[in-house]
Amino acid sequence: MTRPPKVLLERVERRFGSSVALAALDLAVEEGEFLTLLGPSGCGKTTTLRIIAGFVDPTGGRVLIDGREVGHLPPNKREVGMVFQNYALFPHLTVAENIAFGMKQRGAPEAVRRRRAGELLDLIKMTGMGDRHPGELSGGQRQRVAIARAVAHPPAILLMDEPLGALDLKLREAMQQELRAIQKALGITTLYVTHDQTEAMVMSDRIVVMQGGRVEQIGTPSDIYMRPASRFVASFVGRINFVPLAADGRPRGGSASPLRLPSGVPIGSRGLTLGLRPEWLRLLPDGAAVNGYNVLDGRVTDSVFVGSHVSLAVDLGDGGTLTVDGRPEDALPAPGQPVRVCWEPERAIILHDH
Amino acid sequence: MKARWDIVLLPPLALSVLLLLASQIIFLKGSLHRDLGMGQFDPAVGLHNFIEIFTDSYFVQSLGLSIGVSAMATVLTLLIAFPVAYVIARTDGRLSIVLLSAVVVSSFITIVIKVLGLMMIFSSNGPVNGALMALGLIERPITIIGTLPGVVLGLMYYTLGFAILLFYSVIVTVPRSLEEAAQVHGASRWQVFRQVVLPLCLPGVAAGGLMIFNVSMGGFSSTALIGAGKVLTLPVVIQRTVLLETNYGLGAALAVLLLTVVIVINGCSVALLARARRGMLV
Ligand SMILES: Nc1ncnc2c1ncn2[C@@H]1O[C@H](COP(=O)(O)OP(=O)(O)OP(=O)(O)O)[C@@H](O)[C@H]1O
Ligand SMILES: [Mg+2]
Repeated sequence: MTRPPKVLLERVERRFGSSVALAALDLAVEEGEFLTLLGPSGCGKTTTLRIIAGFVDPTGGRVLIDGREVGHLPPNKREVGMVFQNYALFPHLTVAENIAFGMKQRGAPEAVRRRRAGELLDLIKMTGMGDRHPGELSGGQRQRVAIARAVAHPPAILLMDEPLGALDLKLREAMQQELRAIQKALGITTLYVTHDQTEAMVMSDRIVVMQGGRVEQIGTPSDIYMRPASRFVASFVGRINFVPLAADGRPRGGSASPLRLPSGVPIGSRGLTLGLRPEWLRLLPDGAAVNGYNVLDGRVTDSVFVGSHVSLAVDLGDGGTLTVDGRPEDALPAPGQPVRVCWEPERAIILHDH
Repeated sequence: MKARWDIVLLPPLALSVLLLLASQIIFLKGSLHRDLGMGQFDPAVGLHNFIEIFTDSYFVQSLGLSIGVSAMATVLTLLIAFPVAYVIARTDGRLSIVLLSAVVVSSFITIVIKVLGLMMIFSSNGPVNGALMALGLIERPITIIGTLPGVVLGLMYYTLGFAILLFYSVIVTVPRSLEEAAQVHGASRWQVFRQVVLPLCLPGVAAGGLMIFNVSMGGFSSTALIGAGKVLTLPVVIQRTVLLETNYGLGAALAVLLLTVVIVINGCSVALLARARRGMLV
C-alpha cells in the first residue's frame, strides 16, 4: 500500500503509576478499513482509543492522523468521531441537533446542518424522528443516532468503544449488520473495540488481537482463525484443542503412533503443539481405519447438545481431552463408548513452543 | 406487600409543619394589632402597621436594600461557587474528597467567627490593605465595615460553602462522557460549558440561586456585624424595631412583609423557569 495510513501509532506507551496499560504499541489503520481491537478485559483497548481521541496522553511514542502528529492537539482539533458505549447523547437537544452538534461547533450554517441531519436520519432509517429527544428513543435508535452524530462532520477516523455492549443479543446482531452497512456506505475509516470475538469476526476487515497492552496478532478474520500466531490468539478466538507433540511426532505422554503434519512443516528438535478446531475433527467407530488421516483413540466422557452441533468430550487416556463437534443428525456415540478421533493432517494449526 | 418506610417520616413532618405554621401565625396575628407599648396589643384588628410601613420611605428603602444586596450576593456567589464546584466535581480521586471536605468543614464554622476573620483580613493594617497599598493601587486603607460591598461580601461568605456543595451535587449528575462527546465532536472547553454543562445544570443552578437569595434575604448576623448600624437591611430593621423600639406589632408586620416578598419572588421565579423549560422542550 502506497497511501499513508489514516492513523498511525508508533511505539505508543501508557503507564498508570507503575502499571503498564500499553507497551510500545505499533498500529496502522488503513484508509477506509474497518479495524477491530479484540482482547480480554484490561488489555488496553479503551486506552488505545482514548489516546487517539486525545483524552489520554501517551507516556511515550507518537500518534499520527493523516500523516500529521497530533500529540499536542486537544480532542476538538483532532477530527475524530466517537461512539460511546452508553451513547452519551445530549439529553437537552433534539435528535437532529445531536446529529448536527459537531457541524455546529465548526460553524456550519443552519441550512447545511439541517440537510445533513436529514440525510443521516434517512441513512439510519429514522426519517422524520429529528425532532424527538433522546429520552424518547429505544436503545437501538439511540445507538444509531450516536453513530450519525459521530460521522456527521466527516471525521478522519471513527472510533467506537463497545458500541453494542448495552444491547440484547438479537438487536446486537441486527445492529452489527447495520453498522457495517453504514460504514461501507460512507467509506469511513473505523477503529472498533469489542471483547466479543464473534462480533469482531462478523464486522471487521482486519482484527488486532491484544493482550496485556501488546499486539498479539494483526490479520483478517480468517487469518486470525485459521492461522493464529500464538497459543493465546488460538484459544481466545474460537474454540480449540491443543495436542503437544514430542520430537518424534508422537503425542506427548501417550502411546499413539506419530502424527502426520501439514506438508512442509518440520517438527524441530523440541517438538511442537498442534491446534485442532473442534469442527475439524470427526468420530469413527472403534477399530475403523481411514487412510491418510490422523487418528487418536479415546473414550467419550460427555456430550452436550448446543443446537447447531453436539459437543463431545473425548478422553484420550493419556491425560488429554479433545472436544469434537458432531452433527446432531448423526448417530453419535453415548458417553462411555470407545471412539476414534480423526482429521485431515492439513487441517491443523502449528504452534511452536517457546 | 411493600414496607411503608415513609410512615416513619410522618411525625417529624407534622412537627416541622406545626412549628413553622405556628410561628408564622403568631407573627401574622401580631402584625394586625397596633402595639401600645410595654408589650400591650390593641385588641382591634387593623392594617395600621402595614400602612405605617408603606408610607414611611425608611421601611420601603430597607426592603429595596435587602433585595438589592441579596441579588448582588446571589449573582456573585453563583459566579464563584459554580466554577469551584465544577473543578471539584471533575477532579480525580482523593484530591476531590479533600477539597470537598474542606468546603464542608468551613461551612460548619459559625458565621460570627467567619465575619471576624473577614474583618481582620480587611482591617486597615491587614493583608489585603497591606498588599494593595504596597502595589500602589490605593492610597488609604479601604474598609468593609459599614459599607455595602462589605455587607455583600459577608453574605457571600455565609452562603458560599453551601452553594459549592449544592452545585457539586448537581454537576456530578452530568456524566463526564457527555462532555467528552461534545469535545471530541469539535466543542472547545467554553463551548462544552456553554452548550452542555450549563444547560444540563440550569434547573439546579436556578434552584440553588433561589436558595442563596432566600438565605441572603434573611441574613442577619453578618449584616449586623459588618453593616455596623449603617447598612439597614430588613432583618436588621426588624431586630431594631423589636429590641430597641420594642414595637412588636410593627416588627411582626415587617417580618410578614419579608416572608411575603420572598415567597412572591420565589413563586415568580419558579413560574418563569417552568415556562422556560417548557419552551425548551416544545
Ligand atoms: N485512569 C486509569 N488509572 C489507572 N489505571 C488505568 C486507568 N485507565 C486504565 N487503566 C488500566 O489500564 C489497563 C487497560 O485498561 P483499558 O480500559 O484500556 O482496558 P480495556 O481493554 O478497554 O478493558 P475492557 O474490555 O474491560 O473495557 C487496565 O489494567 C486498567 O486497569
Ligand atoms: Mg474498555
